[in-house]
Amino acid sequence: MKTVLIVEDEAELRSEMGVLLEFEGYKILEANDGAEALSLIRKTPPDAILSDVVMPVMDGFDLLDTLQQTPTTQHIPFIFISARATEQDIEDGLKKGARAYYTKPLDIEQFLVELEAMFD
Amino acid sequence: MAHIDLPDQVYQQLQAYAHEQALSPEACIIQLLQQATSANQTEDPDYIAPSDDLSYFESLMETQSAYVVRTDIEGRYTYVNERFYRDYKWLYGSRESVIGADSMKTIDPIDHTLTAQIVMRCFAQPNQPIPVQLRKTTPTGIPSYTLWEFTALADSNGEVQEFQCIGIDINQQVQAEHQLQQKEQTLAISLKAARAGVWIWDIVTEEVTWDETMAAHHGIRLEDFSNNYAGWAENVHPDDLATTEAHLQQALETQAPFDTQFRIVRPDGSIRWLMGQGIALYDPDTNKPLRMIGVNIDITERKRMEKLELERTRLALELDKNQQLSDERSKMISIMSHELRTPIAIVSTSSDILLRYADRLSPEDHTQRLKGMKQQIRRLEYILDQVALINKADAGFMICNPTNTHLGTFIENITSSLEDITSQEHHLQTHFTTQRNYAVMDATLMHHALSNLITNAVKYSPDGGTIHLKVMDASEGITFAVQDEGMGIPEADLKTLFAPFARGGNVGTIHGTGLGLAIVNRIVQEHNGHVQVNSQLGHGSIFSITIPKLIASEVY
Repeated sequence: MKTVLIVEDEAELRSEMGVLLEFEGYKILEANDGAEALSLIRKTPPDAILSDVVMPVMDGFDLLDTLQQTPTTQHIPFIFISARATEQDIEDGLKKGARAYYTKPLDIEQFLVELEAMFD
Repeated sequence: MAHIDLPDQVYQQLQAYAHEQALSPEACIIQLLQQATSANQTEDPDYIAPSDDLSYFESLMETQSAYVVRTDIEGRYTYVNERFYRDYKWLYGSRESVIGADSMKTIDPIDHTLTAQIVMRCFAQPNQPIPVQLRKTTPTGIPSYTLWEFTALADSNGEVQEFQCIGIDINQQVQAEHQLQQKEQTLAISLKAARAGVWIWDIVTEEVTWDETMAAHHGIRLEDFSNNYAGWAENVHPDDLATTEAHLQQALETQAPFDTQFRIVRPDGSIRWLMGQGIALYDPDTNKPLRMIGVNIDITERKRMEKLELERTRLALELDKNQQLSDERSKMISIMSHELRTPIAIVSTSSDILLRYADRLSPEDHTQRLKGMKQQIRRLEYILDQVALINKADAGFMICNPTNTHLGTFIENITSSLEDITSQEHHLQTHFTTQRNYAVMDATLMHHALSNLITNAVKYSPDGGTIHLKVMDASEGITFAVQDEGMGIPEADLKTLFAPFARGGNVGTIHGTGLGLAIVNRIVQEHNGHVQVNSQLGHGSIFSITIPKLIASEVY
């Protein structure tokens, strides 16, 4: 069973995303911001990270930077899911090294297919 | 005229001698000079020989500041005085070598022809001094001016024997004159370059004198100007005459320079702008103005440029404003899109769960999810309402309907509607210090404004705390204050706090459209009131809405 970490400061969204992915057979970890995510990852490295961009304490970009600088975490697939939806936002996120950048709301069918493919 | 400086007693002596000889003192002096300085003895028996008692005059000539020279009829020097020798030492060397030298050498070649002409006249009119201004040769080559009097001295037969010349150095005067001429020329050029017309107004006779440029300004020929004050006044634009005359009068009364701008109407109907400056001359005894002298410069073009510049500035400002509006709009779209996407994402995810895994959900899970969706939809509605409201206010369509409102009921309605958000963490406390039971206001709008302030107080107090809602009497009306113990507002953000979409620099990821306070401000403005903010970073903020008392007749 693959473990997916959801980093999202909007509690309702985080919990609903978790419920949905659990139904799809993933093991879920949740974090409210980048800093919380980092300490979780150190304890239990997930198989993939789904992260918001705008968050308190540590935002998604800083989280990705930190993970990429650490040899043990740099290989973990990192995916942005954000309400920031301009082409510029998407380009910035991918340049940072994210595997994918999804805008809210998600097209769930496509998202699940692509997430699955990331583990092959 | 050249003249010889003589001490008074010498002059008296001379007069006496002249009387004796039946000559004018000037003719007499020349004669005496001739005798005193004579180098060649003439054979003419009638020629007055130098006498011992005239040796005094010889020494007198030597001390003169004027040039005194004598030449033979060929123009060769027979005598030069000390002053002359001093000025030509550079040319001749020793004084002896001057005698017999050609006198033309001391005259600038430019004036040789003139000199020859004067000599001819002297021959024609012997014994009569003939004045002439000549340039002398100088070591520097820079012309230097001398005023000479040449006299051809003739014997009793009218035969010219020699020349007597007295000259004075007038170089300084000539130079000064030249400088003056140059200054006048410079002034004329300046006036022409500035296209300044010169006018003189004789205040006593009302006569006005113009130069050509003045006439050109007025689009007439100089000879067609009536040369009086009325003639000028009738050319001034009727709208400007009174002001211009007032300026003139004021300048005369205060003895200050006159400086004004006015329009004139040309005979062809065209309008020109003139700048007028002048100064008056006053009677030193009565202090009454006698004359005013001034200039007029046509500033029509400058005025046109000024107007263009103003227009350009106005357009630039408008463009700026449009740019601002456009920036504001893109900011709004970006914020709106971001703010709307989150609740939509929640609704979308919940509905995906309901659709995909309905069979695996308990009835409670099902209902809870639907409730959650409903709540997110309300959140969306709230955002859209805010946008609609601010748009309405911007377009001037916010309808304020003040009615007599019972304050107790009004506050109770607010607190009960906010029960959901004011939990244990955020305790809402009301303080009623007003003696009034009623206030005239639009209860719906004011409800919205106060709810907004209280919601903000909750939102920006992430660590909880007490929120105070105060209703107080103010000198001009009634004040509603909302005080929190939250994060406070940075000073830099206070200025733009009420602008649409403005959000504090320290809000971090707390959601918001930046529309709430803009709406509060509009609502308060509709009540002719004002909002005041007192905030201390890290300690909390107080927002106070004060609305004036409205009288019954204003209630509709």
